[in-house]
Amino acid sequence: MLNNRRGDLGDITMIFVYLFFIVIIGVGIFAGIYLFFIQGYEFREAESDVLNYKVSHCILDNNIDSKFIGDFYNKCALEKGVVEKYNLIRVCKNSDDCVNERDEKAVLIGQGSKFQACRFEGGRKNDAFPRCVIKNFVKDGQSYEVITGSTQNSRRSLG
Amino acid sequence: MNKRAEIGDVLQDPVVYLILIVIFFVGMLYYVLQYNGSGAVWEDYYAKEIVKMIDFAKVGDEFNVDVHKATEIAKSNSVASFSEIFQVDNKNNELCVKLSRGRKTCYSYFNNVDVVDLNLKLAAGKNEKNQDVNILSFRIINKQKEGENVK
Repeated sequence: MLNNRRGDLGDITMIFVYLFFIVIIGVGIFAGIYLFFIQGYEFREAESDVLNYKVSHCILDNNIDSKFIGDFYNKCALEKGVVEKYNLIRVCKNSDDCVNERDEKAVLIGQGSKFQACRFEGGRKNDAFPRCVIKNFVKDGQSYEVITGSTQNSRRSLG
Repeated sequence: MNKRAEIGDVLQDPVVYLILIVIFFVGMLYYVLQYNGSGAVWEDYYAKEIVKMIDFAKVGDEFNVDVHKATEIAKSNSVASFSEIFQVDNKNNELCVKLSRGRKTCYSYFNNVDVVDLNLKLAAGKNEKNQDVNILSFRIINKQKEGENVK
């Protein structure tokens, strides 16, 4: 055995290569799991969908006039404070492009800004962008487009 | 007599490699399970799912939700009382879930309603395997103005 020291040394140093690979794989798994859980449970799109459903049905069930627009939150049973803080709503009537609509008469309801972010595909991977739902329907021969979005994230606090 | 050779023999032994890989996988499994069973992840899940029900609800609706997993996690994290797990703040339209001591996760609902009679009933329901499960029940009513009695 003593006549073959180089061979022995090569075999022993393999443990370091082995440990190195284990550490690399371990760090990869740690980072993957951490990133997966830290992102949380994505709910904004589901929330936007429910809001869109409520707003659309509210428009279908009500007579759309200035009285309705003035009393929109009560008529649609929406909590104004929460919507203003965490949601986007835009309702357009007979508009070709509600997201970029500049004609104030075509925009019936407008809550929030930066609706362009709803169309930005690259934003879907960015947590800072809202998750939006856009739906169209026709009522009494008039076309309506409802855009809703959510920017809300759960809040963890002491308690 | 020949210590260097002995160390070399030990390091070349496949059993050492096997032991290392077993330690590695046990460590990884522990890490994954620890995250999976941690309160924060499940608090987030329950808060958002219950808020979805509230947002979709209409006045008069009553809910009975299987929250057995939440109660198990709260118990393992030594949450003082089951009544602390789910809390509703009707004034701020906010639902909070607490599955670990000293921390809670909150989420707001946009539906303009009040959530009342929030009750955690132990072993009040059965799951698909016919096992007893804990149920969270609540009712949806019209938004009450301050000072108004709940009907």
